[in-house]
Amino acid sequence: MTYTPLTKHSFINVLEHTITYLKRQGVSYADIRLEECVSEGVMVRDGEIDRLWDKLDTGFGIRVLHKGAWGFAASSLLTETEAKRVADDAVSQAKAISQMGYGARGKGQGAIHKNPPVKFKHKSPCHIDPFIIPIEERLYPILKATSLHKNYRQYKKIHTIEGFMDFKKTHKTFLNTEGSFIKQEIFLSGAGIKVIAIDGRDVQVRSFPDSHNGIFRQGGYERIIEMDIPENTPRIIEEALMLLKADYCPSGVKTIILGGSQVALQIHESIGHAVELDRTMGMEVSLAGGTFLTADSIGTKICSDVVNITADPAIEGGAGSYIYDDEGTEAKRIDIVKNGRFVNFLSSRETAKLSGMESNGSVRASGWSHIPLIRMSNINLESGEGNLGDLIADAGDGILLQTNKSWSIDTLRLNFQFGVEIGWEIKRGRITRPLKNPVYSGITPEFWKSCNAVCGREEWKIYGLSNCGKGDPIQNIAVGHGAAPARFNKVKVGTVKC
Amino acid sequence: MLGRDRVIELLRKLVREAEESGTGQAEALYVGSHNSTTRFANSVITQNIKESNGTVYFRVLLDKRIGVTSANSLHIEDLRRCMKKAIEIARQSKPLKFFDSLPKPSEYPNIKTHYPKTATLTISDKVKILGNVFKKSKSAIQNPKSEIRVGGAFSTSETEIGIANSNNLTAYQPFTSAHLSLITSSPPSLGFANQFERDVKNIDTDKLLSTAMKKCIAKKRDKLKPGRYKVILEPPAVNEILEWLIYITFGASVFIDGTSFMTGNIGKKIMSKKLTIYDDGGDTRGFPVPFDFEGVKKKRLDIIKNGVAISPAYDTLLAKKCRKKTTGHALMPDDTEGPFPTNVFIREGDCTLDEMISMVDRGILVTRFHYVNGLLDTKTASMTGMTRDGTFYIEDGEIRYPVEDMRFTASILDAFSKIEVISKERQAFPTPYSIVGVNILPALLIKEFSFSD
Ligand SMILES: [Zn+2]
Repeated sequence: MTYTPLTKHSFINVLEHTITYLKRQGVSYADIRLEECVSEGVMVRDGEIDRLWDKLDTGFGIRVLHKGAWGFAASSLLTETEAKRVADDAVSQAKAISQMGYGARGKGQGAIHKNPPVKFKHKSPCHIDPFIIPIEERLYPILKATSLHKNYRQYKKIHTIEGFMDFKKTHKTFLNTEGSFIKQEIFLSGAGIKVIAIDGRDVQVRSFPDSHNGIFRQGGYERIIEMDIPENTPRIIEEALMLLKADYCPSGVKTIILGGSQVALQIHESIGHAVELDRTMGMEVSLAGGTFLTADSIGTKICSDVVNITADPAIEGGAGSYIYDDEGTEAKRIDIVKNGRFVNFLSSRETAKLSGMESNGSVRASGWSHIPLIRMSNINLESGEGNLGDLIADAGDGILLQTNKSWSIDTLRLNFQFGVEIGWEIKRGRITRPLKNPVYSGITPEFWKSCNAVCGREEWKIYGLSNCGKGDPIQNIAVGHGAAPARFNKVKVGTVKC
Repeated sequence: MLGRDRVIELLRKLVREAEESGTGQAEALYVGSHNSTTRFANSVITQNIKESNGTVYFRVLLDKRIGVTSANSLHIEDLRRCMKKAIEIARQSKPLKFFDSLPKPSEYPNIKTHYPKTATLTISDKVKILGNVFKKSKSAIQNPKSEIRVGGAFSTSETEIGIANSNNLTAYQPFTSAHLSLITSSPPSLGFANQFERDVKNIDTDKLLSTAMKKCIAKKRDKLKPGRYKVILEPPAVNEILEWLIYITFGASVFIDGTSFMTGNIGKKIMSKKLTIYDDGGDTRGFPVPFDFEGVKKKRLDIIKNGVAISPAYDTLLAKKCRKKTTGHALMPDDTEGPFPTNVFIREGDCTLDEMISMVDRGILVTRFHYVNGLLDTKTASMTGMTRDGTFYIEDGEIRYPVEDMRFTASILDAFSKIEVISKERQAFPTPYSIVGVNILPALLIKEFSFSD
């Protein structure tokens, strides 16, 4: 019933033989990814553990390109027989698709440009290994932060404080028929808290350091320490209580300043997804949709002059960092938007070949069982000048909008609406009062063309989310965004009444 | 597939070993699956994947302390390590005073949920089926200039779920599923249709194609002014909204948090009396599932009955916390947000979709939504999203012309209080909250729905 384990070392040998076997089958290209992911996470509520989990997820996936069609098969069973079965399965898929004539042949798909062979080993920095810290000690910051409201009369409207913490260690071994052998080890750490304040029908939520389970970054426990969660929680609790008494955000067309983490999500939804080349080619139409950008859009102005956006998989500590992507292409920093002009798509070996280019190494899979797709690595808004105080002082009248609450955008990544946890009214360059339930909406290029200031390096931070979804079956992956607060003119702002 | 005997034998052995290592109670859950998905775009197959996986989940109870671990391995050493880890986690956790026992054994109904021909469908079979769809989409159009391209996904899966615990509970059920979704495109128009089945032979590709194609034949779309409109939401659009409604409202976790609009409203009328939303894993008009992921037998749970809030869904843990009984809605042990209802039905009405259209003097028909978000204000279930794949203007009881996609921002609590008609025919949608859960939903005619722009 159970199986005799092969050591990882001997299974890698098996996979090397499998590459040779696939070459003998005459495939045009094949790659294999073996991944082992260990994760430990916890949800806490009001100072007590709600759920705690530990997960081991191991398996391998084989992707082949044969007679102009792709096949992919994957299994969690690490045996020699299974490796052969999976390889045969991937080949037979490609054969079936190409033989029936409904494959990608003839339309240019199902071809890739060549990569040089690479032998490489990499371990992403992890200064404090979270997995060896005893649970009680490890959870201290969020257990403490989520119990700060207990037994205080002035906090009785704080209904709950939730906390979240998650650590992942992923070993990836990549081999392909071009002779590449790449080993990468990546640590991902994330945490956050969410304060829920309730008064009758009014529910107000404030999160720290970001909403939707906090901030994720590569690295070890040092990432959690540097967040200073317990130290910041009293302020977040006060803000949640302030929101219960605050006025609704007034509606109208206004100058807005987005806080850094909301800038990160704005980049993510309206620029990051829009510049994925597979969307341009209609390959994601069935689920995620397309994009407003076409091959002809290169060189066109989609943002104002002050906007510079880069894709940089090499940032230390970015949630989406890597040295080689999941089809063995070396990562490189590229400009996406240069002085407001759109200059580059994120591409894969297949989509790049179709466009007569070379891949810029933007392909990842969210684990062994998934095929690699074009994914954001770390998509960053490059810093401008001045601090948040300067931006507010120069704003005249406007609203500062902080921390994402809701997000929605159409299939072409044009028509968006975001809700945030808190707004701050700005009158004559000064913050006057908090505002509840703000939402703002716009059309991507118009919105980004109205950007007139981005804060400087002193306000620039790396944000990261763990669950960007794409593909079918859906693949959730960690993505990073370097961002600083930024100011936009003439934006439609509104509110949601409760 | 390992089959009932091998799965249960393994799980019992693991539970015994856990007990011998000093836990109070132990539970072992096995989820094994073979999934295969073929994706296509522009009438060409672009991706094909096949994946085999098998995961064992442990939950151990040690003086009211719980530890949960999982490993997708059948190596006995990996499983032993995983079990030890669960015990170690439990040792370091704080005791949950209210939690005293894992579920007791039940008798489960005998239901057919596995169809061997669906499990063994090959890629060649799928390519043949899809090839016909692509061919028919071409031949149906007389004018070569108005070519229709087909995108979508065709997935089939075989899943087996087994559970054993220290109370002598054992449960096992195999499942198959087949799901085909089609997006037809003929710029600027798009159309959509989908069908979910346990048995692939029930998938009616001709019907799906003609439904999707009917939606995308117009060469021009008009722009409608934002405002409040009477609206018909077809089942896929209702599904998008219901997924969020479940997430923000129908689970015990959000109910306890107080962010659910059901909190404080149990027994009160909060929606139209025409509306009944229930969950029933045993109802054969849907796609039955005999037990939840901790082996509790499925039975009917009224969530909203004739507009009145009745109950959210509980699992054993949160039920004990609230001094309630579990409603049989435990999700997989590594889930962090549930329990949620996973076999949701909206009670059917008595009209056909055409009859519903004929009742509208001025309104909008929505096929489907994109990127709905339900976190705007959970107490009013305020949501926003874009229409997609076929939005039409209705006048004097007839569909007049397709319109450009629009953003809705609306309180669903308010919209569901203004339901005028519910369709007789319902459609199945796999739920994101369980690998074997399926919701069964009708079309809704709502008196007023807000579109912003
Ligand atoms: Zn995303």
